Amino acid sequence: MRTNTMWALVMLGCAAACGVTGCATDPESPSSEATEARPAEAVKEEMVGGWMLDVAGLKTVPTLAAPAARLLPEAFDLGHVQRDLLRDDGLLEMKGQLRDRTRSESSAFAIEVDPVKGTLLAIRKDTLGASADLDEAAVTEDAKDRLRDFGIPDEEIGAVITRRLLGEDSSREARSEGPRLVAYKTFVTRGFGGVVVPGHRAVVTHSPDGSLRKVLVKWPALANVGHRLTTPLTLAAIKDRVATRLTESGRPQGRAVLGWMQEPAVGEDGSVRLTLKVAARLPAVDHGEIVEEPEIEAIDVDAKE
Amino acid sequence: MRFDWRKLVLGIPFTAAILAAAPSSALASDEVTVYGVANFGGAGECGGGFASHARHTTSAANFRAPFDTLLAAGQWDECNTKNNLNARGSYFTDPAEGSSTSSSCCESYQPSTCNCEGKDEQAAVGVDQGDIFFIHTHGGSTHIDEAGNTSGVAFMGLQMGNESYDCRPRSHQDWEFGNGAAGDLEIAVVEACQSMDYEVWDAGGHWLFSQQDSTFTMFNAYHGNVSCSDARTADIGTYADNSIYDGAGDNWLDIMYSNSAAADGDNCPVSVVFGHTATERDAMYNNGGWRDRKATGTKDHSTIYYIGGCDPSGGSVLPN
Repeated sequence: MRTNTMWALVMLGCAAACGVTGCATDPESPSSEATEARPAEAVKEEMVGGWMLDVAGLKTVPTLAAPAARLLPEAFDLGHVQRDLLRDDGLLEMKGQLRDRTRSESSAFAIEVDPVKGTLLAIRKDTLGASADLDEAAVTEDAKDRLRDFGIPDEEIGAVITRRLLGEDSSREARSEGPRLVAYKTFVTRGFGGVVVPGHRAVVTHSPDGSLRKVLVKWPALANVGHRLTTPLTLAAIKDRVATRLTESGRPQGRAVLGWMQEPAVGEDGSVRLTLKVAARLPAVDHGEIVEEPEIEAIDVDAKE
Repeated sequence: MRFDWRKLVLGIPFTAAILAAAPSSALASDEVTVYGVANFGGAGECGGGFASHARHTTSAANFRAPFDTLLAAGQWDECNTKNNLNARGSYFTDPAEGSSTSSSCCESYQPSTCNCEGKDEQAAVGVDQGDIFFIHTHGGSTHIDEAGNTSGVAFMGLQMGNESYDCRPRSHQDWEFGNGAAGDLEIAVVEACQSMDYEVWDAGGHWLFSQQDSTFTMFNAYHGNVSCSDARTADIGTYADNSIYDGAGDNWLDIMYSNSAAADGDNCPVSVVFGHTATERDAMYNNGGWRDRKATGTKDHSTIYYIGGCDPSGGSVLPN
């Protein structure tokens, strides 16, 4: 279980990274999602329009600009992916194509790339060595180095975390005595100015021996122009807007946790334009045997270029 | 979205050997069925005070989209969508488990004509007649809780769309995957709260819907509650797009996991793979896909894969 101390450290880190603009609802998360239960010191609740809004994640209205350094569409060139991301030099053979998605293989990797959607999936074909005593920080650094070489600049990275993928086995008669380490996974989330872009991520998987096992990327190139990342609304007006929109949705009034997000929209050329919005997370509703999911609504704040 | 025939004609078709690995299904056709249950409480709908979540049908459409592309390319045989009133509880109930005359499955608010028939092998609609199904709805589980309290058998339930049938088919008494004359389900993907709690797996609840000689190999779902947003609805499409040939299990965790800085805010996808050896199960988890469904042998063992320490609302912290 995470501790209040850890929460405080994260918030301090966030404050350093974000200045006075406030952070994403979830500063270390691969997603933009606000949290349901948080330490009391990180909660700032206000009653607005009949809603109890936790506005600690808003702080002030951000003034964002898309970073000058950004991933280019050319990063999804197959040769570049193989050489600079996977560091593989085996002979590459085209195996097939479905719409814009191609599949190729070397002796070591199967690689699927869709430059239009900004996605790639590369999986090592062979099974590598046994578990070793690894420094997780080294795994994280290797993941960041590879993504940097692939073309994702630090300016576009919102959060990086490494987690252990575990597996537990069972038979119909018994189960194993606990989990086994399957892999290390480093989740890298797109974001800047302390505000994440939901759904855009890279996940680098290392085997227990530290070798690269897999890379999955959903990181479409940003458009050069057309991002709407500033809002003319004041913080007070935004809170009123949130309460109004939630009431209009017909939901029973209650609590919502607010934070900033950059909502992506895909243009005809596949490039992505971002729009600043407020993410309002509503709590789960427990009906006993069935639970309504905690919904996250993206609230429009009249964002402009 | 418009299909690009030029790409198909000019590009190398996906019939290339590596991409067209024959499915291990006992029945020849490749079929996917998607269910989106978005509406609750209206005329004829299952209700019980549940809020409607409009994006549940969008998730179903996003999951189906790459299969439609495969279908157009001659690489898939059948895609079916059953949303809202068409998403009946009978389609999640095994013929041997249900009864057309019993009212044992029906909630108090359901009409007296409600029946509990099992139609999971019915062509084009049942979960077991196809090779893969996806559903987005409300869900829940019953098991030993964090305080050690037990409610007996560990199971999951899903909220369905039509009150004339079972509104809440449960995993221990209604589901039975990959069995029967027309049953050949191999992969299930469930976007719903508590749809595969660790405690249900730990108590052996997953064995109650998959027999040893079943065709069923993979159950992708969630430990604890999962959030519902436009972003996650899009993530479902990303997951389906990326899992045609590889990573049907591992991609689920890569794309659907999210971490919160505070306690109780994570989304915790899990993948349960059924099969004989750990090697076979790992192969399906890592390298299985919609068009490369691995044979995993006798379903006498299982592995649950998860992100260590994941901490959702409505669920315990996963081991780390």
